Amino acid sequence: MELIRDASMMSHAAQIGDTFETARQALPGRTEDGLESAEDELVDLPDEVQKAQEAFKQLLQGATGASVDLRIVQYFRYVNDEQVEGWSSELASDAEAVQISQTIAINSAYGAYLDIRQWIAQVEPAP
Amino acid sequence: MSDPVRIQEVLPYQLASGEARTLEVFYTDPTRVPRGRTPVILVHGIWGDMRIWQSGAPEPLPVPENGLHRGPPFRIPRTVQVDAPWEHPTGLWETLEQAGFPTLSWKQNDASGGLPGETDRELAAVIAFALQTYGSHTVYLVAHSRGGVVCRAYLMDPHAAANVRALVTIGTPHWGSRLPAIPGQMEAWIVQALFGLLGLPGHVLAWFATSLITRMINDFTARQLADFDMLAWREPPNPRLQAVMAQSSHQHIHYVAIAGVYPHVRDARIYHYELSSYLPQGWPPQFLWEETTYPAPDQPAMKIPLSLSKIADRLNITAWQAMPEWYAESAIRPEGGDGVVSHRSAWFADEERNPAHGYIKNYKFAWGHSLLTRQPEVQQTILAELMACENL
Repeated sequence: MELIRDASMMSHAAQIGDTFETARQALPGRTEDGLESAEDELVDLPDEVQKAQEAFKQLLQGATGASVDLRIVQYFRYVNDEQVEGWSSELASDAEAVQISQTIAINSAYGAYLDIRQWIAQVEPAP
Repeated sequence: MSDPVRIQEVLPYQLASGEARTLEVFYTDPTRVPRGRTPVILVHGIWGDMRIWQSGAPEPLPVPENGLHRGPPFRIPRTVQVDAPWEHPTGLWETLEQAGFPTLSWKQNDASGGLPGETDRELAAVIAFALQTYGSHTVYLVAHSRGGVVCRAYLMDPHAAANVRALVTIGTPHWGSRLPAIPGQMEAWIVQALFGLLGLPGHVLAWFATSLITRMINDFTARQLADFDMLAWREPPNPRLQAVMAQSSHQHIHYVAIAGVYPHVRDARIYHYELSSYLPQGWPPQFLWEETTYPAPDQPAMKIPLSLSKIADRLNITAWQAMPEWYAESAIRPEGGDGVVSHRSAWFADEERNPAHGYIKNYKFAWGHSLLTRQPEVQQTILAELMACENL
């Protein structure tokens, strides 16, 4: 298995930094002195997202030859167009940003339920 | 006559089994048309109804949903066949009535079963009613698509054929149709996709998948399509279809075949999804997808790299990808026929066997299958042919 190279995804990836910056202004985050906000904390990745992230890292290593780590710098969760969780840190200006999304969409004749989780991570060399 | 008044009547008829049935016929008020005119009977096609003969405001095309959306695309990629707006809002029914022809039609009870199924019995009841109501000895038959084969089946009986002066077929698949092949194509795709998804050896799944999917498809379309295997396109045509065409040819009947030569896909609405359509974009998160109508010929229909989406894609767009050469925008077919639905619809078996037969006329128009009856030039052609038969 290898990473999918798709033009629509590539053009999308170029905008992750912009998304981060827009969301950062709306989300509670770390305070200026570096202490984490007490209101909303970054929660652990769900198991399936954790597994997907590990798989991605392995494929990325296969593609680039470099061993990397992903450090989450932003997280938000939207349920039915309402933000229910959010947390933001800083994204280094020269960092490469990665978007991780998890969407649960339940659709019915009566209406839909949408649960969207999104993380933005910063690519860093593996320790 | 500017304001035709149609009357409704319930007619009894019998199925081959002897079971009694009824149908609802709609016909021109006999007092509103000149006496002595030969009545015209309009026979609609498969899964159709009388609307194909009627006037009405053009249906608006669906509004394209382009741009950013709050939720991910729930609708899996597909094409939707839509009726393009017709250029002339007058139906053939009204055109004929305005010219003084008493005209009848009915919504077939059996418009989707085997061929001719029991539809020719319905036609027989309507013809008998027309002869009695208008005091005529003969009728004109004008049929769209499968309706033409129904008329041909009716004409196989020489006694019945004596009632008919002319048969005008519009987009009738005289050399079969590709439509019956579509469920088979779908089945092959689904089985193939399941193998790939589950990573299992093909033979393990083959029996299960085939039987399950056959059952699934049967529940939807194949149940109806399989019955008319007679109409399935073959080269040469199915011998049963050839027999129907040959046995329904009579010297006293004026045959007119009108063909649409433009691919049917022109009437389609295409959804464009990309892999990133399923990924939220921006803040607050939104999803991007778009749909279009009337795609440019070189525009790719869609781009879905996901295996699962490919299955859905296959399930829904079916015919287009099954037979691209039959849907190609550039493929205007001079021999007459709109590709998938109606192959060589300007063709009669007898014509090729005996080109000297002078009683067959062919017309070809650059319209798709479902648009033919609403085009003014098609309506005027039919009117001119019937007026010539009527010595008007």
